[in-house]
Amino acid sequence: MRSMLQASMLLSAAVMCIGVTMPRAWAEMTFVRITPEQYQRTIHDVFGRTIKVDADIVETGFRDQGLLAIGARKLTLTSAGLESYEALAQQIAAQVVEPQRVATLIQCKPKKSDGADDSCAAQFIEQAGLYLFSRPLSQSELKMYVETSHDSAETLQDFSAGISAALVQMLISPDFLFRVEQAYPDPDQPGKLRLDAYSTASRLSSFLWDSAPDGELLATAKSGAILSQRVLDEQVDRLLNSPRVEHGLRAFFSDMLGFDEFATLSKDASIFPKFTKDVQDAAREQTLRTVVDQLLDKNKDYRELFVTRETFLTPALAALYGVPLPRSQELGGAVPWVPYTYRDSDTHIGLLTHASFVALHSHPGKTSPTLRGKALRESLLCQKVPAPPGEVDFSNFENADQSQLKTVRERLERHASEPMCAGCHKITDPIGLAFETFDSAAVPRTTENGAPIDVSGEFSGKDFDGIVQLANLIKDDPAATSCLITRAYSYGVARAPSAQERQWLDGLKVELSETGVKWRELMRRIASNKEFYTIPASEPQRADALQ
Amino acid sequence: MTVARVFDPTDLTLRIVRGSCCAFAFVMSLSITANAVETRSYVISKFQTATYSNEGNCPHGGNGTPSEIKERILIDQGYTKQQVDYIISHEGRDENGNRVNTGTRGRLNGEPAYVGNFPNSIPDPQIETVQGKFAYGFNLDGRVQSDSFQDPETLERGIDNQRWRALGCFAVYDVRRPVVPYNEYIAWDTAIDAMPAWLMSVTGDDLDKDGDVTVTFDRSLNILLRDAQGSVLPGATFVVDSDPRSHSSFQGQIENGVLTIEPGDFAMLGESQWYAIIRFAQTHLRLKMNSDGSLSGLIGGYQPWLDLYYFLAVRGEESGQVDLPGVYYAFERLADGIPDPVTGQNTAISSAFWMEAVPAFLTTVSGRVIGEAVQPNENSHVGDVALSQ
Amino acid sequence: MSISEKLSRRNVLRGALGGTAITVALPTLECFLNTNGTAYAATGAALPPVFGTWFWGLGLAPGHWVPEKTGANYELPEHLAALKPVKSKMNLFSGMQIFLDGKVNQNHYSGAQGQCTGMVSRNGSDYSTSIDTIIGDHIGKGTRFRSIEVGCDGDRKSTWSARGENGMNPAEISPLALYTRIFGPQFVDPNAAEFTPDSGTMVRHSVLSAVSDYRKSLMKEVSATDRSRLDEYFTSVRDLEQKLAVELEKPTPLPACTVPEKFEGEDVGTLVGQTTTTHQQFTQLIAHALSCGQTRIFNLSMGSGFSKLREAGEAVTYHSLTHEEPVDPELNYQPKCKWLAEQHMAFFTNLVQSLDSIQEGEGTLLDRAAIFAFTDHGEARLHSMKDYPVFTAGSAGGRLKTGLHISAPGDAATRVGLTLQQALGVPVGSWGTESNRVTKPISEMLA
Repeated sequence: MRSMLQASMLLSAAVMCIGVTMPRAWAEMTFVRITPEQYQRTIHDVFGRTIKVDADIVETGFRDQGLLAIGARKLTLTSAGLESYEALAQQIAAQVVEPQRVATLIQCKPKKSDGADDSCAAQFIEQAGLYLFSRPLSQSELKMYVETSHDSAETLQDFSAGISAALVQMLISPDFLFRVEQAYPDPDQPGKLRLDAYSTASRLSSFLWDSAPDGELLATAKSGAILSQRVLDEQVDRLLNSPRVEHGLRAFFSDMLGFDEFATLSKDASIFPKFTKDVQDAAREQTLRTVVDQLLDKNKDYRELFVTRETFLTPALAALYGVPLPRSQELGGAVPWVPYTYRDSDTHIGLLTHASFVALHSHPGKTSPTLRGKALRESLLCQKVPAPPGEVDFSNFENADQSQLKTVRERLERHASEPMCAGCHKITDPIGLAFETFDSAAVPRTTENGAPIDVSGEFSGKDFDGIVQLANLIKDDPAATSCLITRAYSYGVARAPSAQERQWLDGLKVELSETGVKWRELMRRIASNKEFYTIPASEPQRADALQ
Repeated sequence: MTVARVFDPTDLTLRIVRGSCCAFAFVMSLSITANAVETRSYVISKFQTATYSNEGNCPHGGNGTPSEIKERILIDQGYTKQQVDYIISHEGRDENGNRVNTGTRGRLNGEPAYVGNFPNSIPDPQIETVQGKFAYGFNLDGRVQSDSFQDPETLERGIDNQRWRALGCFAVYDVRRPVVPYNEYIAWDTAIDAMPAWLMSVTGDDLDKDGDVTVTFDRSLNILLRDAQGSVLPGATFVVDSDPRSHSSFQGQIENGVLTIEPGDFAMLGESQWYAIIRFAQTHLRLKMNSDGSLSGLIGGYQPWLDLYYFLAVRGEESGQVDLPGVYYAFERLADGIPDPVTGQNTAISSAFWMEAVPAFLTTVSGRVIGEAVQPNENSHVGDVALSQ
Repeated sequence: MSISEKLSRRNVLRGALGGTAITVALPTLECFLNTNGTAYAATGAALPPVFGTWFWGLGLAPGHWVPEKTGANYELPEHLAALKPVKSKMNLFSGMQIFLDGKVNQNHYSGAQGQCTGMVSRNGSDYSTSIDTIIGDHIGKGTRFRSIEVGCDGDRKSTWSARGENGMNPAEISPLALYTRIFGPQFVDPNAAEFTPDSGTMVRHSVLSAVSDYRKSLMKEVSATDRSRLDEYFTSVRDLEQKLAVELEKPTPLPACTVPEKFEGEDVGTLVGQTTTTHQQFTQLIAHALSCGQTRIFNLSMGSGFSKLREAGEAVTYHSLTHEEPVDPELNYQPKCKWLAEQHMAFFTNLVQSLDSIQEGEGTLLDRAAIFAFTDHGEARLHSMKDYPVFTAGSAGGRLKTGLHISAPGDAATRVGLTLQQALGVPVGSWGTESNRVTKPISEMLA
């Protein structure tokens, strides 16, 4: 696969913006930290997939109002984080200037290999800057990077070392480590700011592709055409019909479902020998694969995710779930993902019975109806569960005679008899207990300590008995749809929606609830809405603009 | 030594030597189509010689460790004790730095010959064989004789296990479960990550009760999976290989949670790292059905003793940890089953292995589920798997 | 950004990078350390951490070395009695394993490889960058020796240290030769060092300076909310810039540095007595080399996993014994093997004490060290990849707690390596491949 940098050399002189000073007309500049996945994807898009990017070393960030994407707007970079990024940048730059790549990535031939060639370096820097920063470099920026390249090439008597140094500088620059959004007063809506053309393109590709804009999108930014509704609509459709939209879908659901918690998931191997490292990695993939299959490939309604019997399994996952999975994988082959459909009589139904939910929201050695109930309320219904009080006497709960209280339900009921605890546990536990037919490692069970498990309860005023009925209640609950729509919008703008935006989202919710909550349609409606590229008036304005 | 003449030798030649080529290959899939029966299936997770180390097994001190075996071989070849110590402590090299190869101590037409391939190229070294009273196994010929053992757990008399008699005085076999003879441990642990798994199924009206059952063995097209602790993962699914060479079927009974079978023929292909093939005639089985759904116990019968010899010969004397010609001659001498119709020499030896099996789903190549992994507290899943799309 | 400022910085850089050594006349030895002797007085920076690996083959007697209790108040089992003098300065890990992920167990290789590199290869010829190299890249810059590898069994191939896939670094096997290499004519006392800054580091430093300079132009256009975030980012840039600047400075005298006495002779071999002497000589040299700032990384190997160690009079090597010696049914262990394993525990105590005997202010060299001790098999008799005994020693300049027994049944043993890397400041979030890839450090031992 050709990298964008190579492609641009051949095709898109139109995008290049050599020596043009950027207009400095914006009134607001904000920063959203890019994720490790976006970092990796952008490097691969620009320099080719053969570049090894050890993005694991990068900090993940923190969750704000249910999303890492919102946290990213508040995230800065610690000393340790910067050190990681500098090490990563050195690693990437060293690969870019390796002899086998340099010929294709740097089109000009330097006058000498053992020193500086500013004009050749400038060509590379200009191209790399355009794609890494998703905008052309300004005259002074170009000069700055060429100087770095010049000094380093002379010092180390190596043209490539100069290129490498300039590239490192770009890769640790805030222009790359953050998605910089520049806004200016919206001519159509006085008092409001809207993103400029390049920032519009960045927000759009970040939202739909989880990556930086490609050449075509950048071209519409350069010409300013992206600011017109017609071209915006065209680009939204183009992006949504590209295979790269799968990256965007996976990134969004990984965020919404809290899959960053897999990094710290741990199961006691002696209690749950079936929960292997393979299973842990596969659990996350099972859900993402199912979501891609249902929402993109089959264009199913989002609400069906709660009740679909269709999924994908690996041999190890099937063993965990206790179901037979015919496999054809032979010696040395990659682990195959096999499409699998549960029978109607099974307790496996929808995303909520995946290990990525029941095992992720459990303790290492035992289940937790409270954690499961909380995750369901917060991640999928966008409801807030208050934090537990600081001082609780757990002795009554923990020291309870297990021979008397065989099931979690009995033990939790003891717990909930504490008035201080009762309020919140009423929110989480009744629905969390519906998942008790899956142990902490997602292995199905019907008894606990020999006693039958009671999975009946009440959700939103309706009685249910077991996970299948609960899943159907959740599917039909308006909160599930509204939560998805709000999360998707917030994810795209990296903040909570304003009051005005909420109104628009409410309308969208009513409409889609009737016509079907289809992923592409939802994305199209959000990304084509010009409001999506504005900055609400209530947000803080640029400090010195107000002074 | 007694020769058990329990088979028609002609029939045996067909079965063991040529393998099972015909009729009974698809019995298992046919046998479970009736609705009233249930089939529980398993994957074999342990298979090891049923050893029984015991005081008095080897009154002459046994055949020793590899170093001791090597020492004896070198002294037989004319080296002094001092030279032998030097060679053994210098990774097999003599004072001049030359490699001393004990493996080629045989002589064929005056030329050196490798004793693994030509064990009778040297005279019988007369290894020590087990003289003790106890050994695991089965009474294969229905008789209690002076050379039978007594089972140390069931205390049954008349146990035929001449293979144990031949091997039990080598240090490597002088162990008791759970210790696995080192040569088998290495071979098995290496083989299972690459070898098609060995499958088993039990079919009957209600397997939680006493009654008649059908027991089948087959090889899979898939390898074993391991769990988070490196043991064999229960509950995985295996595709049954329709190759008749690894298929066998038996009538059996469950009584008080113990599974036994009517004697018959058993064959299972392995891998060269492990036994290339395991064959039993007059197969006996005694497996306990454990509360976690697994099976454990003994399988035994008469085995072609060359199959067993090849396992050791392939490993060589260093990692096999035996004296190969010694084992060869002992097997030949102690063999007690299936006489060759022409020479009258017994081609098989009585033997027993300890085996364990964990629940596993079995399917046909087309994905039809034909055996269920019954694990306590897990759902039932027999039936056709609906592959989506 | 002011171009003139930048130019002046560049001019300085160019002058500095003229390619010639900068000779710095140092004042006569003064008290460069703070009153506690634990940090450089001028900068307040702590003395740099040092890291070493210690490998011994064939593990311990299974079932006889895991203490009953975990945490700080555990008691050493009789099998580990030799560790008693250093118990409070080390940690003991039990229950961990190395995963093969279906690959063939390269006996006496795969397990050590897994712990040392985080990966297990398909065959015995593949390798990868080892933990000491990773840590050395982070803490070992600017020393005379990138690292020191030694083997105590006369085998140059007995080390596990490597960079990349091109095989292991050869081990020094002669204590006398190592003495000459470190303390021979080329040895320069740190008090009068001539110093050549590393040009690669200078370039990295100048790149960071350029990013710092970018701050002013950027800050003008940023919203008030984002201004403080961006400020934090630039603070981080300056932190790293500062760290590199320190690496570019002349070395600081080290009062604890003394030159050890030269040995009368050496007796390299595989008998227990010979190995004891060789190991002692090596530990002395390594401790002095560390205290004199000659290196911050060492790798000390008792020998390959196929240990040839034996007691005088014993016909077979330790490795052969593990497979041949019967398990005593009464004692439930292999008596000779257990005894040999205990000799190794005494060797480890010797290493820890060697570092602990070098006084640096109120503390010792061990206090700023982290030693990682690992072996090739959990149960060598069966080539088991489970239940590995793993040790660490030293508190890495206060970054590690010591005196603990940590039980982590079933966990990948690579967690210890990840924890050590993170404790020594290596910016990694995960380490290892396939099932040996770990993301969680052992938080109990992080101070």
